[in-house]
Amino acid sequence: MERALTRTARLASYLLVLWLGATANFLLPRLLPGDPLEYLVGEESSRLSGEQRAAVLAQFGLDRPLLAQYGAYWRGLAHLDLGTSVGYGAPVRELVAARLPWTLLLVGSAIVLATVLGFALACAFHWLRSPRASTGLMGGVMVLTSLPPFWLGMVGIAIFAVRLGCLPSHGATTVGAASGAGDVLRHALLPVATLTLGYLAAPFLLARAGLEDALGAGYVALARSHGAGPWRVLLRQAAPNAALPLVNQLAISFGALLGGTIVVETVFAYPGLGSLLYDGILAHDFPLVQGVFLLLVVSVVLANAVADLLEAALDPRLRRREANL
Amino acid sequence: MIRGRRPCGARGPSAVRAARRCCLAVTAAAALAAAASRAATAHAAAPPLRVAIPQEVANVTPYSAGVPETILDLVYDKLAAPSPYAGNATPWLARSIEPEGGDGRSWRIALRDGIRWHDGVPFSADDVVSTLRGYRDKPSNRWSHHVGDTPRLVSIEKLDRLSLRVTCELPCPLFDKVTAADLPILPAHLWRDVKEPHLYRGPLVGTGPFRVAEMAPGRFLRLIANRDYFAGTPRVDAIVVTFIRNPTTALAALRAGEVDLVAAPVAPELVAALARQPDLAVQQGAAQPLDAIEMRLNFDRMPLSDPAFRQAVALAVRPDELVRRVALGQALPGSIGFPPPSPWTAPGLTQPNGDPAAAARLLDERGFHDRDGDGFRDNADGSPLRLGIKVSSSEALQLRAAQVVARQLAAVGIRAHVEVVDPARLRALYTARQFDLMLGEVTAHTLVDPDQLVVSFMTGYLWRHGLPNARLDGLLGDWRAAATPEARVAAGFALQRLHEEAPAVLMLYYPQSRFAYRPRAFDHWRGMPGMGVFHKWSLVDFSRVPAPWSEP
Repeated sequence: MERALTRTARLASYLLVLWLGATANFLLPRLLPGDPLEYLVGEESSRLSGEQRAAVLAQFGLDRPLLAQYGAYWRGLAHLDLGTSVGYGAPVRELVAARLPWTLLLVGSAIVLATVLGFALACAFHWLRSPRASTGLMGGVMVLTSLPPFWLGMVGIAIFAVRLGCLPSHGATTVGAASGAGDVLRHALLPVATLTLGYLAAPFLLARAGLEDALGAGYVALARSHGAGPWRVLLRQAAPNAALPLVNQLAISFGALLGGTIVVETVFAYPGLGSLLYDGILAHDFPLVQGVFLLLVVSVVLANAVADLLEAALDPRLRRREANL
Repeated sequence: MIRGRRPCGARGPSAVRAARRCCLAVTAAAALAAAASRAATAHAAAPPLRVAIPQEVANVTPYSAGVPETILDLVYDKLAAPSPYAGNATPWLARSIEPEGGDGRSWRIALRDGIRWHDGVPFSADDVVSTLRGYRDKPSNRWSHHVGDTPRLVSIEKLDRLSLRVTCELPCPLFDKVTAADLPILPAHLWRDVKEPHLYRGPLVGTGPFRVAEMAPGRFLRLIANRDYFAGTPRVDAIVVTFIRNPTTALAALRAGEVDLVAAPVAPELVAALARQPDLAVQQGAAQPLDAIEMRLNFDRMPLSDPAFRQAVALAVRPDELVRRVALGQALPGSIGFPPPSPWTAPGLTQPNGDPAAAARLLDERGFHDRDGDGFRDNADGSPLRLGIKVSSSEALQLRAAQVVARQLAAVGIRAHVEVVDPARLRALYTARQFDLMLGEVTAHTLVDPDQLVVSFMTGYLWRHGLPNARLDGLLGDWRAAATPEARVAAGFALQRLHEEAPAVLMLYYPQSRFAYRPRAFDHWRGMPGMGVFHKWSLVDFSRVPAPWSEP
């Protein structure tokens, strides 16, 4: 009974977050400064008569009271209808679906790479006996993470695209030529590297702290007393436990990285959700901004749910606690 | 403390299991990449001309937001060409555009026979009638007010398959040179019944030298040559337009050989370096530019509502210094209120500027003195005089210009501070008239089009409808009544002179934009007033076409 209640409460909290996110998502674009008509008809929107303004606003459903727009918004969501982009003249669902794979490719790759790399560096940090080397490693990671992504991206373009000519400077595929998975991966390399380096510090610091705790734990001392070598202790005993907090961090960072793609995708002219969102915000394209934000909200909530499930599956203490309820 | 269980690692992933997971992750990434690449269409034709533009094109219609007019011009044609800006428009889709009657209100348009739309349907008067009525009656776009207001076409009637008559509510003596050269013509068989043109997603069909072959949202637009183009021969088989918002990335792509032209002006400080690159060249847009960097003065706010104060601000600004320090010499100073090379600009027109001593005298006369000894003038009522100069956060050169202007104003005792705001907010502040001074870029359409001049006096750009101004009302009346081209042009000149007496907008400088390209890929780029270099006049060989379709 108690377990059912706990699960219901958790589900309710997810739904509440979704409702809050969706409502904020409806309201925020409408709080942006400016007049959507400027985008629809250009700077001469001020020239329109009241009748013409009303006609254009009605065309996009922007003439109705806020509450009516809110109702229509939820009705649309119920049918997975995110509206029509006023700038693109196309359903938002189609636009988002076309851009989503590109962003998932960047974000997914960056999360995996940053986590693996951060964890490996944390292991190296503990492995290195020299305080100078450890400080250097820590300093290096912090400096890399502190660099603005746009600057990092531009440096990458200058070196690898312009100077060495080994990687493309922009886009997701080679335009006007046959493109396969290899071409897509080549185009993704620089943006993924930029995102990865920008996100490296979080998994590195978490893993480093986790390893520090684990290496001081009794079971590690026991393993050492049984003759386990330092590599075995680090990789077999300490590392798996230290990796657990990273699961939660992955969920949190998913949202942050999705937001971070705005800069990276703009620098690399990458056709993902970030650049779409950027254009939507500049253009006051309410339906588009709402659609992308909603996707971000749902993604973050889903990622958190998955993290909860994964954590429970990976951590026997949580499993046992649930079983005892 | 020893926990009562085995640590995860003790039964955790073995090396094999870890390797399996790693393989799974790589496979998933490859599958994702493959899924993404499926959206990418392969083209194995001859290498297209690759052009980077600084904004995304979502659709190529006159109702599409953000599409450059030069790209529209590649797909669609107008009744007259090349543009309303230089006063040299000649019939294009039309064979002739002749006035009827003596009141300057009616025009008879005879169309050229034998033109076909990209889908093979013959071009006819139905298309022109449908387009003009659409601009007038359907939801607004950038062209609507040039059919529904200035001028207002009260009658658009088809006479036969290849001719029509339009009648304006008031005299429209420049219809052939301005209106006809401004409106892209759309095919009636596709557009006549479209109720929501902003949402049009049908075939993109024009009569122009290039057809839209493919649009990949967010990635590229592919155009292919229309070998049946009535007015000339496209010089390239295909053009791929990519969308690179960041100018540094665009130039990097050019240097890396990934694009052949960056159709956005090169920053002045980079021009010399790019010109030295062995595979690159730099082409000037037009010797006499028709775009400008301007400063808007909010005449709705004190003290800028005082014409004398606006004149003092104008006198305090020194465009020569802006050209030297901001544009690095690659611009013409805004010494003339409207572009000097345009036939639509009043001869001898000068913008008052570059005379700080005169500005100081004028401010003294109007009672703007430094009353508290802080080195800056105060208002006549003793309150501090402070002006904000708003500028877009995305325009580095304009920010630099704003800082120079602030110093120039300080030199005559006007305290001005630069306020950087994001582009969307800047537009909102302008619409709401919440600014003192605002820097921005103005394009040829606003600056040169003689019909737009009148619109500008009504919409808050040069003046605002409803704000009392008896002299302006009189001159606008003269403009509207002018029934001959000469009288209409003269009335426009009078409006320009009135504006220069107490300007609402100051031209700071006219950038002589340069465009970087790879000459090996294409070396026919040429500057056209108000169009840059990426336009049909570069991309089409008009030499084999008899007049009146000869190269302008």
